[in-house]
Amino acid sequence: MTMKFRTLKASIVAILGLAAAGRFRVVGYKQRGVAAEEIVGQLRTVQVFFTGGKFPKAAGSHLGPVMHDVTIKVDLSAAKAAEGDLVALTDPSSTPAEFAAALSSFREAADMADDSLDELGDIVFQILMDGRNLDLGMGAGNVSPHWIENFDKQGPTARGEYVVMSGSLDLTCRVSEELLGDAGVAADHVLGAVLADVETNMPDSVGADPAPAGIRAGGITP
Amino acid sequence: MNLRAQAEADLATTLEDPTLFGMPVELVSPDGEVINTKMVDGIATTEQLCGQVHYDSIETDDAGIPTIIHKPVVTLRRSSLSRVPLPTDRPRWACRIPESPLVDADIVTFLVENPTEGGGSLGIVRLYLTRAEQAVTP
Repeated sequence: MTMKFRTLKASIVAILGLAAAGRFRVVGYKQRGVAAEEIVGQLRTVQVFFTGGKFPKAAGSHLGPVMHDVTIKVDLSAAKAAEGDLVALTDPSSTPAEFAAALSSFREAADMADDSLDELGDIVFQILMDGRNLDLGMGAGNVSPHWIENFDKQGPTARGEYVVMSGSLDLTCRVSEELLGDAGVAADHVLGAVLADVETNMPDSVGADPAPAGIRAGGITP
Repeated sequence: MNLRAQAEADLATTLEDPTLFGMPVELVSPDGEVINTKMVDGIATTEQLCGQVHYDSIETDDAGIPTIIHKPVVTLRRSSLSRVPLPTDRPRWACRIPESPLVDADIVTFLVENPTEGGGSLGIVRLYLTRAEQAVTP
């Protein structure tokens, strides 16, 4: 049986994945790096990962359940290029006035990415705070009512041909962890085997004591 | 001719010669003027405007790791231009270049990213291009 915070993360990924409907892509871990092409347009990414938890001493015991205040970070990314009337701009038959109008029609990539991230934050917030997801898919009574405490935004940053905006939502809730204990593996099966292997394979010179008792380095035993 | 003047004159070969590294470049100014021919000694000609295009460049990612990215950079001889794109120009300039260095490659249109880099001492201007996409009408 795994601790509930692990099940909780998987459950949030499932909720977001089901509700995404092609509007974004959900990843259940913090990616090392993401190509802008991966998150451009409709492929905005949402990464869900557990960032930390607290175990208030007053709300737990060695003999019963332990309350776990969990923080799950939901990272959002959106990438955009400048958008405008590219058809008129590439048409060789366009007049100078049409070219000028086409150039004026372009919205900056940073502006587009900012709007796209705001929309993504709106969607994800609405999904997670929806009353139907009050238990976050964990079943009634397994998770305290969650709360999204903040929505931070960073950027814009240029990544290749695209401008990327990123942000994050911090979701907190409390779950009750069961203390089932873990006795590990009995020492004689592990440590004993290692010691036996060392004794068998180590050459005599390696195992020799470099400083036998009673002898000082560079001196004579008084 | 001093060394800087000689280097500037050499740009006709090192930067603009279409049989060497020169690639056709077309600029569209904010007021819609298309600039696709070069100036020689301040006089307009019918010669195709050419420059050097680097299709990939290096950027440092969020983790501080240099990454090769596809983002064209165009270097032009300043004296060949009838107008020079300025960082303050709005709306931005457009720039048309071949999609790849291959002969007969399709021409693609980019926007000139702000800022441009002027190499005054060597007589060049460098344009950093950014992708432009067709807006989707809701």
